[in-house]
Amino acid sequence: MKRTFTIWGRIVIIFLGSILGATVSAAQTHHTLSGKIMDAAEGGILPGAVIRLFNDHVTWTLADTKGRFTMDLPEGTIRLEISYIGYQTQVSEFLLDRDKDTLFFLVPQSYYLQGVTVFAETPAIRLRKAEMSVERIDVSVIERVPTLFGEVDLLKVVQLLPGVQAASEGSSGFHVRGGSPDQNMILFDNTALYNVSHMLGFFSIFNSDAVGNMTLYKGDIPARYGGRLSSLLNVTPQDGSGKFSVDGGLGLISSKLSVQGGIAGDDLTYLVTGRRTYADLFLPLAKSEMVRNTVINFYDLNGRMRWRINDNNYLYLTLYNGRDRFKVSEMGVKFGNSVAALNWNHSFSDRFFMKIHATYTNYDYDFSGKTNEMEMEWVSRIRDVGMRTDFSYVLDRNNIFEFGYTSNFQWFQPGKAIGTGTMGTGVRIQQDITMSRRQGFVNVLYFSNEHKFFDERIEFRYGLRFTRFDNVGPTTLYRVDDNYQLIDPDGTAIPSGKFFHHEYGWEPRLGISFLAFPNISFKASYSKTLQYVHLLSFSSAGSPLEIWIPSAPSISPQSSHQLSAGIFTNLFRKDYEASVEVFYKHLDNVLDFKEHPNLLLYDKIETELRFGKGKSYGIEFLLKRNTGVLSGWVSYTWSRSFRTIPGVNNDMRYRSPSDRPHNINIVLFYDISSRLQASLNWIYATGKPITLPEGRYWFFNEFIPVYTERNSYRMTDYHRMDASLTIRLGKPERRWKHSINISVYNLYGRKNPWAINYRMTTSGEQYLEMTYLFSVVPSITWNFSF
Amino acid sequence: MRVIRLTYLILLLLHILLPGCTEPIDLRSEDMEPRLVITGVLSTEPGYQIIEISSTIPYFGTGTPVSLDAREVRLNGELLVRDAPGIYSMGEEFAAEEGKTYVLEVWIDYNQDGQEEYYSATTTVPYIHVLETLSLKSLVSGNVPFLLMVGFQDTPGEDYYGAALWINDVLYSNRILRYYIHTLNDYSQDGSFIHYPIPEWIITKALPWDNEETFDLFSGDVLTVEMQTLSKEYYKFLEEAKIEKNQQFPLFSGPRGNVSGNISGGALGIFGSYASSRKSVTLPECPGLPDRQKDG
Repeated sequence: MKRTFTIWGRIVIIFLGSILGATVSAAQTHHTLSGKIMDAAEGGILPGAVIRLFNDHVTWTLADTKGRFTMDLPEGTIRLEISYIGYQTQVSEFLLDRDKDTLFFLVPQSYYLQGVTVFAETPAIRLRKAEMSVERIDVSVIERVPTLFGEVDLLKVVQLLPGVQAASEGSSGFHVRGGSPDQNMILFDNTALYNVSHMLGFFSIFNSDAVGNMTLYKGDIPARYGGRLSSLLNVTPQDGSGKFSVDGGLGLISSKLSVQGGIAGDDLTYLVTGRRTYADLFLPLAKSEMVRNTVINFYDLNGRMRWRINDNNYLYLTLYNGRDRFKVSEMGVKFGNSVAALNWNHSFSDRFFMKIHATYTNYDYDFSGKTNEMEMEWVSRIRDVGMRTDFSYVLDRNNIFEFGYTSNFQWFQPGKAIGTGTMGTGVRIQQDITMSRRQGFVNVLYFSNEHKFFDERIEFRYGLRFTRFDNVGPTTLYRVDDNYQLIDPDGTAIPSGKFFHHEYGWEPRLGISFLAFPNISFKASYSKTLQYVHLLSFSSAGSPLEIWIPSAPSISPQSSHQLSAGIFTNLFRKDYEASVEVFYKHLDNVLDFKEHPNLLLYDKIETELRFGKGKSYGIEFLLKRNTGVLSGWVSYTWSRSFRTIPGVNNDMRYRSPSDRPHNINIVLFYDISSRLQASLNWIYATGKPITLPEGRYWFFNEFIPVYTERNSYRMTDYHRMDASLTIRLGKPERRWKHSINISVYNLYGRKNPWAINYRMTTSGEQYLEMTYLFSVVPSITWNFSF
Repeated sequence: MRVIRLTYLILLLLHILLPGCTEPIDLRSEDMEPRLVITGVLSTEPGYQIIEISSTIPYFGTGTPVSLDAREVRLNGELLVRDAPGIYSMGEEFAAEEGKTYVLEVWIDYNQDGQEEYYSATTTVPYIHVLETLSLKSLVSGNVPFLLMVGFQDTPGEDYYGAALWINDVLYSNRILRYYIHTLNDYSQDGSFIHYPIPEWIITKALPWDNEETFDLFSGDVLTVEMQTLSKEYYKFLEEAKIEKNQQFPLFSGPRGNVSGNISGGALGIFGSYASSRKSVTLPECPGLPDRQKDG
C-alpha cells in the first residue's frame, strides 16, 4: 500500500511540478537542449539514460532508442546530471544561451544494486553483444579479492577468470587459453607494456587506486587492437572525481596514498597516486652489516588528468613511473617502467568521433655487481613510441563503423654488459658484450562494423586489420639457413635508418550473436592475430631480466587463428549468468627454443630459436552472480595445448608449458553486515608439465640424464585457498572513512611446487625435491579516505 | 667467462631474493627402454685411454651401469683391445696427435636381433695452447681466498677451453661439476695473450667435495692446473652436461633436454678429444691456511 502511494505520489508530484515549472518558466526565455548519450569507452549509444537537472527531481527525460534526448530549458547556467545503469553518473555545467545540440560521454563503471560488482556490465548487455570471450572487471572487485602480502593486485584477479592460469606461484604472468605469457598484450591507457612485474612478479605495476576498470579479451579481440596472439588486457586509468578527496592504505610491507580533485569545477580533474614498499626501512636495525646495507623496495607513481575543453573536446593525460631496487652488498638490480599517454577525444558531430592517442613506454633494467677486482653492469632497455587514431561513425543505432590507424616504433637494446677492472692481472681492462640494437616499425590500418538486425536480436561484427612490420637499422643482421646455421657468422652491419626487411599480414575478425530467447543467446567468433615481438625467456618466475626482440628475416612473425562458440544465459531474474564457451586455436610459427639454448647476452639468437605449429582447444563453464549478499563466480575450464616444432622433442608433438587440463576457480564475496565483508577464493589446476629423465648413464663420474619426451610429466596439482575479511570502521555518514582488511593467502598452507630440483642420497639414489615459495601468508592493511 | 660470472651473480641475487623452502616430492618417471652408450675421450697426454660401451639404466634407482661387449671396436681402422667388459683400450701409453682426425667404429648387436649394428664417430684433436703462467691471486692481501690465474696465448677464431685441477697429484676435478670450461670466440681478447682467474675454484682452506665433505688444503700443497683445448663436440657435450647437472633455477635454465653427443647410429655418448698443457703452483704460508705438519 505504501509502495503504491509512493509511486502515485511521485507521478502526481512530477505532473504538478511539470505544470508548475511550465508556468514559472513561461516568463523566461527558453532554449532547446538536445543531445546524445554515448559510452565513453566503446563509443556506443546509451538508450534509456536518465537526463535531469541537478538536484531536481521534476525536470528530467530519458534518452530514446538512438540515445538522443531533447529538453526545453530556461536560459542560464544549467547543471545537468546524466545517469545510466553500469556507468558513472556525470554532472555537466554549461551556459545555455541558445539552442544547443551536444554529446555526453558516460564512463562505464559498475553494475550493482547491492553487494559487490562482479562484472562491469549489465547481464542484458552482455547477452546481446556479439563479442565473446571477454571479461570486464571493475576495480571494486579487484579490491575485494584476498591479497598476497596485503597488496591488492589486478593481475591476480585476472588469473581467477575462466581460461586464464597463473604462470607460476605468486607470478604476475598468466596463460590465456594455452598461450604463453608473452602472447598477452597488456595496455595501460592504450600504451603497450612489456613487463608488468614488481618484485619478481609477486606484485604487478598496477596500483588499484589508479585503475578504473579492465577488460580481458581472451581471443575475440576487436579489430582496433592486436599485436599479440592470445589475449588483450586493456587497463583503463581511473579519472579523478572532481571532488577533493584523499585515500590511503597502510599495509605490512607497503603503503599507498592518492589525492584527487577538480580545478575549475569538473572541467579539469586530476588524480595522483603513489605507493612504496618499506620492508627495508627496518633493515638498518639488523645486527648483520650485510643485512643493514641491503636495499629492497619498489615504488610507483601514477598521474591522471582529464580536461574537458568543451563539449566536443576532451584531453586526457596519463603518467606512470615505477622502479624496483634490490641491492645486497655490492650487487644490485634496478628495473622499472615509465609510461606517458596523451589522448584527445573529439566529436565532429553527434555521429562522428575521433580519438587520438600519443603513447610512450620505456622498460629497462640495470644489473650491477662489484668486487675488489672488477665492476660490471648489464643494462637492457625497450622503448615503444606510438600514435593511434581511432574514428567511430554511428550510422544509426544498429550500425556503428570504426576505422583507424596505428603506428609504433619499437626500440630494443636486448643487452649490454660492461665489465671493467684488473681482474687480478694488475692491468685495468674493459670488456663489453653488447647485443645488437634491434628496431621495429609497425603500422596498422583497421576497419570494423557492428550491425544489428531483427530488432537487435542478431548482432554481427566484422573487421579487418592490415599490419605492416619493418625492421630498421642500425643493427647487425644474422640470418640462418634451414638447419639454423648462420649464413654469415659475423653478421651483416645495417646502417642507421635503413629499412631492410618487412612483413605484412591481414587479420580478419568476425563475431555474431543471436538472442534466441529473451534470456539465451548463442555466439560465435573467429579471429586471426599476428605477433611481431617475441620474449626470449622460459622463466616463469616473473624475472625482470627479460629480453624482447622483434621479428627479423630469420625470426618469422607468430600467427594465430581462433574459433570460439558459446551459449550465454541469464537466470533467476538476471541475478545469475551462466555461459559455456568452446574454443580452438591454431598457431603458426610459434616460437620455442632448442635444447640447451644460449639466451644470455647472445647476439646470434637466431640460431637458438625454433619455429613450428601449435594448437589449443578447450571448453569453459562459468556461473556468476552479480548481485546480492552472496556474489562471485565459479568457473571450470578443460583445455589442452600442444606444440609441434621441428628440432624440438625429436620433431614430435609435445605439451606446451601451459597445458593444464583442469582448472577450477571459485571466487565468493559475502556481505556479512554493512560493516563486515568476507571474501574467499579457491583455485585448482592440474600440475604444470615438466620434463623428467627416464634413464641415465655414467660419464666423468657423473650420471648423465636421458630424456625421452619434453613435458611428458607433471608437477603435483596446484590448489590454494585464500580468504579475507574487511571491517569498516567509523560512522558511514562521516567524510572520514576507514577500514581494516585482513587477508590470508594459502589458508591451509598447501605446498605448491614452484621448481623441481634433482637430488641424490648419500647411497647414490636419485630423488626429486620441490621448492615452494609460500605457506600460510597472513597480512593486514588499514585503508582510509576523507 | 664473463657470461658465466654474470650468471653466478644473478643466481646469487635470486637465491637471496627467493627464500623458498624445499622438501622431497613423491614424483618419479617411468623407466625407459635401455639405450646403447659409447664414450671415449682422446688426449695428447700419454696414458691409458679407453673407449667404454654400456647401456643406460633407469634414472630413479640404485642400479649401476651395464657394461657391454662389442664384436669389434676400431680406432682409425686399428682394432682395440678388450681389457674388461665394455672397456676397449689403445694401450698403456697412447697419446693422440694434435690436428689429427680419429674415427671410432663399433660393431655390436645391441638389440639382440642377430644382426650387428654399426656405430661411428669422429673427432679432430685440437692444437695445444701452452699454459705459460700459473699464479695465485689473493683476494684479501696475502691471505685466502686465492684465485688461480692462468696465462696463455689464444689463437684467433673459436677455441674451446677446459681446465682440471690436481691437488698434490690427486685429481680434484674428477667430476664434471668440478671441471672448468669456457670458450673464447666472440670477445675482444680473441687471439691475444689471455690472463684471467678461474672462478670455478675459490682456494680457501677447504674445497667442496662429495657428500658435503671437504677437500682440505694446507700451505705447501701443490696445485696443478691442466689447461685443455677441447674439440668442439666435446666442449658442447660438457657444456650441456654441466647445465643438466647444475640446473635448479628456472630463470636462465631452459627446458631439460638430452646432452648432445656425436655417435652416429642412434647411440648416446661422446667421442671427443683434447690437447693439454700443465703447470703447478705451491700454496704459500698464510694465516688462513693450516700447516700440514702441525694441523694435518
